[in-house]
Amino acid sequence: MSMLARIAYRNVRRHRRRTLLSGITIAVGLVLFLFTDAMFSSVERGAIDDMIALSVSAVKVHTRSYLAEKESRPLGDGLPDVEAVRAFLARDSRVVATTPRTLFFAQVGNGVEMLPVVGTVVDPEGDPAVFSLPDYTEGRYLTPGQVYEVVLGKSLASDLGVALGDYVTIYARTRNETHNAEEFRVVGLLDTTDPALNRATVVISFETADDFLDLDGLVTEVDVALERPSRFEEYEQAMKEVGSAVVQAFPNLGVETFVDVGAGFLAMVRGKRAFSWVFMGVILLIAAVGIFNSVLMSVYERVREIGVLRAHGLTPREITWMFLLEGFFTGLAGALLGVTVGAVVVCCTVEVGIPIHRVVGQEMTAGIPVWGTLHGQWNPGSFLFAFLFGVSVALVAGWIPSRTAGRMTVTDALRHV
Amino acid sequence: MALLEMKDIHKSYRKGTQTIPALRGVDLTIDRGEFLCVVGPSGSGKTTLLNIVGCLDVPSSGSVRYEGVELVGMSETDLAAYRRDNIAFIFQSYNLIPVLTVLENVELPLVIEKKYGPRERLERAKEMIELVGLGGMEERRPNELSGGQEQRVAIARALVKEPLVVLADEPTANLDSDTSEEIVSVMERMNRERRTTFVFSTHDPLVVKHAQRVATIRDGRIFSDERNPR
Repeated sequence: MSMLARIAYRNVRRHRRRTLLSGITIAVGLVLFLFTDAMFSSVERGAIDDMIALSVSAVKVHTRSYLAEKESRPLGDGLPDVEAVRAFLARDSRVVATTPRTLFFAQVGNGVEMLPVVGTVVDPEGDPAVFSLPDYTEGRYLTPGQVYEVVLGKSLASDLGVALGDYVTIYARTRNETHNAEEFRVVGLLDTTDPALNRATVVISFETADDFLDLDGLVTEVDVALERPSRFEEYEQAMKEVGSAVVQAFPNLGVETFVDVGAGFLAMVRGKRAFSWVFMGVILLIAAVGIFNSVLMSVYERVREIGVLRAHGLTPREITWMFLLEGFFTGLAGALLGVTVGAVVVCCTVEVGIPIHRVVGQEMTAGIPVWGTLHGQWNPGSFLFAFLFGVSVALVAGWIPSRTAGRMTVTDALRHV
Repeated sequence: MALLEMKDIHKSYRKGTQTIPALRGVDLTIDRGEFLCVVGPSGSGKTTLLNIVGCLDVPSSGSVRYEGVELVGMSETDLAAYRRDNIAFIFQSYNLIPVLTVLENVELPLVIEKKYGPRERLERAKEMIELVGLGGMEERRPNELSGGQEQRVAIARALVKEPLVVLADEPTANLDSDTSEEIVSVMERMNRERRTTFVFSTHDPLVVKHAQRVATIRDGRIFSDERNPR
């Protein structure tokens, strides 16, 4: 009824300070939620994309036997027909690029000490279409035609005390089970968001590895880059479908998708995201107490008014509605304020971003491999959710005092001084 | 048929373990268009009687009939509907809704009644405001009015829906004698022109002087019921 809404609205306006306080509390809760949601969404997406682009790739194709023993990085178990696999994948419109790689265990030394590393053999021309290592390389990346060059993790170089242009010795077991050691010139240093890459990786070319490891063109995996839909669920689906298609076409091969390899990471990121809910929950609980108190005060200040309205024929339910509307208007004001300020804050995080190194330092990214300037991400669904949640909290909080108003006896209310 | 018939009304309240009788067997019949005063000392049961007449309270026993319709035993929602359609109240402390203007306060019972459209509600409310002599003050809030003006608004609010009965609980208690005289005159005029039934609970001799009928209540019983020649 419009008159009830008018009375409720004007009472909310009459007690501006009280309304403002409750509204601001709701708004703060929503802003914090929207901010953390925008940042976690961005971190989640950024971290996943980084992991895929730096080391994991969306889909990896190995032989089944290699998959069973992949922890030991066996060099005797290469893909039988790499080009057939790549040609098959190229026919799928979701596949952006493919590249061959071979992984091996090695030790790298500076003449004084040796450190264990994982070696990655890459095609310097094709690899950047799937992995973004050149973007994170100080100095330069591997060049086709140049042999016995290496790109080292930057932390590893630091541990060994070597710099660009210096030589390191790499010891490894070849495909023929013999041991080999050669001098490599350091041409690039990897400074990525993945500490494991920085600390324990060496990257060499197939041209070098054919000689150094007697590879003779052996490829242990084909890495696949897929188109990136904005929703991760679609991305995940595409990975699974492409993987299944490969296994169907090549029964001797096995696949690993990012979802398999990064399952632990995904669980961790989603666990951290739950913090944004806890933030919002605690602050909205405070807001709910404020609204409860606000509506209850309003009820007890206007007991005689309740009596008069009841005497004029308003039913208990209509009285309850009138006070519930007061809670609703407070919640509406708070939710509108919250999503408006939230939109400004998220806009700032999207456009300007947060220089994460300056805020938390390089070593404190809470286990999530992101750094540089972290930009927020718009989530329209979160705004809608936050708005509805803010209003709902106000309605729930206002319900008990409103019902108290509706249940008052008319004669008691009229006698109230 | 009488407008209101109350038969053997008993009402008692519980206070802790004690039961306090407020009305002890009241019989009262009120006809349409009466201007009736209920007088008596404090605690005699005047307000309790008015509350029962106004369907704000239910008797512990006895019968209350409006135009032959028995109200005892009705649900709270039905009683609210009955009040909404037939009964209006004027209170000692006016009890206007502070956040509404004079016009909105007067319009309120019509909004609750849901019988008229917005335009007709507005016309009726304005007409009633003119009738109580407050034309031009429609947009004022209650805190911008004097006590007498507030009570006039309360009268306009009570009469706007043309109720069967207007119940007025000490309507002049907070007013000076000149204002009281004006207010009673307004109500008397309404009674005369519209045949609206008025039932007062009062101590004010001025109101009693204007009443056609005076019922005296003492210790929860009707002690005397006399007609005044006006």
